[in-house]
Amino acid sequence: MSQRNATLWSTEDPMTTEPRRLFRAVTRPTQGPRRVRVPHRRLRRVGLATASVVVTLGILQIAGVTGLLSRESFPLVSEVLVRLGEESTDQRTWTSIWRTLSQALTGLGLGGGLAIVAGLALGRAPLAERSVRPIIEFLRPIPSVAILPLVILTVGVGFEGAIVLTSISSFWMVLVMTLRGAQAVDPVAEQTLVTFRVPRWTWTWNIVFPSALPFIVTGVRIAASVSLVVAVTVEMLGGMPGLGKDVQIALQNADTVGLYSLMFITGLLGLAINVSLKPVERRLLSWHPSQRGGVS
Amino acid sequence: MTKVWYRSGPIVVPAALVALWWMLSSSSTSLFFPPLADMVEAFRANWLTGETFGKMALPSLMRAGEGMLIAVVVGIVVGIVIGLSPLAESLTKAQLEFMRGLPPILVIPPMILVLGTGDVMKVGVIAASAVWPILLAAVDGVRAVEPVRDDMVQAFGLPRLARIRHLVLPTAVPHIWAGGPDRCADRPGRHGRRRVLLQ
Repeated sequence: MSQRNATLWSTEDPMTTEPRRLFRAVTRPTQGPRRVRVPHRRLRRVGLATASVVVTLGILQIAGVTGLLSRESFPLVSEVLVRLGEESTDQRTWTSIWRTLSQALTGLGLGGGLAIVAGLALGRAPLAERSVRPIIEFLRPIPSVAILPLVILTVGVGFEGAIVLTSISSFWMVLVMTLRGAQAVDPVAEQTLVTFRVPRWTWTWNIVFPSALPFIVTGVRIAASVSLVVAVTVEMLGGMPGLGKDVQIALQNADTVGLYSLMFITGLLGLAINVSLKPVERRLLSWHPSQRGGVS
Repeated sequence: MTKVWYRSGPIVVPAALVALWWMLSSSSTSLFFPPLADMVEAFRANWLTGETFGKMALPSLMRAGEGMLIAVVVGIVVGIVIGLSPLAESLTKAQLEFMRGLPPILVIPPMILVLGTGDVMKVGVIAASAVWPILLAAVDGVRAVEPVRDDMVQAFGLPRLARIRHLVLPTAVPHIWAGGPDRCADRPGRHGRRRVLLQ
């Protein structure tokens, strides 16, 4: 049967579609039923969450109008939403968001990338890892904010200064997780490859890297949200341009509405980073349990 | 030989690096990277003599402890209550994730507006930034209860509190402690490999 005929027949003839569907069900057991059920559930969940957020905002609005929450500390939700609407058409807001986001993500990429390479290398060399471990454990807990003054003096209060700090914070987090991951290789699988004299690069790529991946992904996900926190913090304290600096300006002008609208934007940004990393994580690790089952 | 290095490495290598730093920085005139000897002297003067430690570090640690205590109690109790009801979870998840994504430093301005600038505000900020990871981990921990065990608890007709005490808490505590599911708990650890190496 020619290729063209096969595609034609498969849509009409049950005799050809049925085995094919069976084959799919066997090779990808989780895909079949999931595809049917998830949209409905997810729709319901999103609907519930949206309704709940609207109700929360409504309650806050009522509490503000009736004076339950003092007007000086908590502006009305409606005022904040109106301000958000104004800001969404303002180029400056988008510039700030872009700056904060790029500072956080560039740092994550630089620090995290270095950490993955260093972690895989160190994790494979137990003696070296053991020797450097005290240094890592000493440097890791130093908060980025504590290095901020030194960075302001040496690198300056620009894009680079913020990136240095977000890189450092991401580096330690990803490094420690990668180290753990590189050491979590199944000894049997590893020794099998060593016995068969599989080239070093091949087994690093095929055994060490996949074994470390769950740890790396977890590390990167945590580092991503921390990176945003660090970016906003150093902007606020160090005066690097971005959302944090805008918050500082709003605070100095006693502009509570602006302050809350910026908090809202930043919170949404954090939420967006978290939510956008979840599918990536699921995708990268979906094969993982089945693979483990096959090896051990 | 490997064994000797294995034991002494963690001491020798850091010591060598500190010694290297000491020598390289001893004649440094840079404003930003002073000689290590000066730093040690300043450290001694600031922290080991006088009462700076009691005046500055202790109150900080106290506040951190108080904030953490509040966060743990509130996080676990509220997290378990929310986690027990799937409806409550889907109703509050978005708000909770939003609060967790919010950089803690942004909690400071509203806290100042509400609580002033005293100790209460500081403890409040610490609690408000520490509570979200604990709370969300508690929710996840409760959701991770094994359905079979849950069915068994219901079949035996255990009262609600006993169910929390004997089923929910034991499942949730590892999640709460680690701040998330430990995907990798059942994997061969590094000890196995170490043993191989040392043989």
